[in-house]
Amino acid sequence: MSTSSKAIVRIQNVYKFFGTLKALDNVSLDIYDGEKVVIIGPSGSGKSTLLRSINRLEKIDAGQIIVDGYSVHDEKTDINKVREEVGMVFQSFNVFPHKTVFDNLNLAQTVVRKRSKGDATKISMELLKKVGITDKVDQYPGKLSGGQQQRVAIARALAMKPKSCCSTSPHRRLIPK
Amino acid sequence: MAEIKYKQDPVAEHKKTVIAVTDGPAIPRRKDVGLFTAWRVAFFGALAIIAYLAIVHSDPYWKILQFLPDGILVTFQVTIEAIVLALIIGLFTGLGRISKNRIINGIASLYVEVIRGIPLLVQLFYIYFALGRFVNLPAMASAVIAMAVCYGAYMGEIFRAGIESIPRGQMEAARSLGMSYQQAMIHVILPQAFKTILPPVGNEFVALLKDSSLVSILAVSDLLRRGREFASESFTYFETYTMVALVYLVITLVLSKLVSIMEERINVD
Repeated sequence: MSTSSKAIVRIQNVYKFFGTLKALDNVSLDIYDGEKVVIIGPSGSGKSTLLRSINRLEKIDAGQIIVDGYSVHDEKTDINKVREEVGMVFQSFNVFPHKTVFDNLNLAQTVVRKRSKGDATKISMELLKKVGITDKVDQYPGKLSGGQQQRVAIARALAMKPKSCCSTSPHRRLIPK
Repeated sequence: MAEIKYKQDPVAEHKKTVIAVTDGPAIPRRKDVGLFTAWRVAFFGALAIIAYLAIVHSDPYWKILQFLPDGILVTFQVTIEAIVLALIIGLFTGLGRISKNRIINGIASLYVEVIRGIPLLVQLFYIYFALGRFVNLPAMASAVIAMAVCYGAYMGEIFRAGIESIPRGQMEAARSLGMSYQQAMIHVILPQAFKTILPPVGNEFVALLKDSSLVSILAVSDLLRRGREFASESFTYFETYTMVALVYLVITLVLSKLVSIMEERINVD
């Protein structure tokens, strides 16, 4: 538990239906700054749906989600502002195949965060060093293994320096060294 | 009806049957031996016949050949101007067709339906003669606009299919990084869709070049029109149209070859 009293993500009485299937059933959860939360459950239990609803990739049917003071599912909220601050690592990585590893990390930094190319490059290199793929910076993701692609996806999310980070099956392909 | 199944061939089992018929010449692939040799026979055959006629029967064939280049230039001019315009129209139509905004989607879909239901020749007449009552466009401009409007509808479908061929996760990943829809389209989706779009666009280019012969009706001096001018003065209809047909054939064969080379390069990358 963190000592900070401010919840960075507040999930309040959230419902989500896929047709007649109830994917989220009155879910409430507060996540505080600095806290690490792990959600475990059998496949199809709604873990991914919950995470996807945190940045409105999935619309919810009832309840509300507040991230960093923004009501995510309010139509008036500038969702792009919220998403900048919520890093997202997908189960299937979704790295950009037409961009090199390096450009995968740099793209949103320059386009969204408006960082200079130099600043973005510095942050990217640092993160790629952290995830251990400095030798592959100029490669296209197609040439990388699944685990390497996932590390690129993690680094890409972190490069935005988001306030919070969501990840589905973050360690699925990563074998600890 | 009995279910049709492939023979127990593991390769065939996984093969999706794709029937693709375009109105351009078939695009030869290296593996496609039949088509490849057919291309060679047609191309070198056409060149040989042109050379033979121009040298051995230089009157009138050589004269005809000298008369045509101006027309070839006009044909290319119409084709290139129209395809550039059609690409722009097609991009917006494609984006409109996948838009969740009902009005935009409706307009784009209506445009595609209407244009595809009216013959190009009728569209040409409409823009030049019918709309001529309100705006007086020169023949060349009418021709380019009509071709672009017509092919824009087809391009729109190509763009739509290309964009839809990109996995949904790509858009989600881009949006999750805080990119707007437009930024995601420009930086992530369209560059990837480009690869899928390029070969059919090449096909459309060849098809458009052939269809551009229709503009000769609006007194645009394209290849066909030049031929007609020559023929009606010299009464050498057989000789002139033979030459015109051969020149069109050589041009479209060269272009279709270029498209196939481009396609191969893309697949290698």
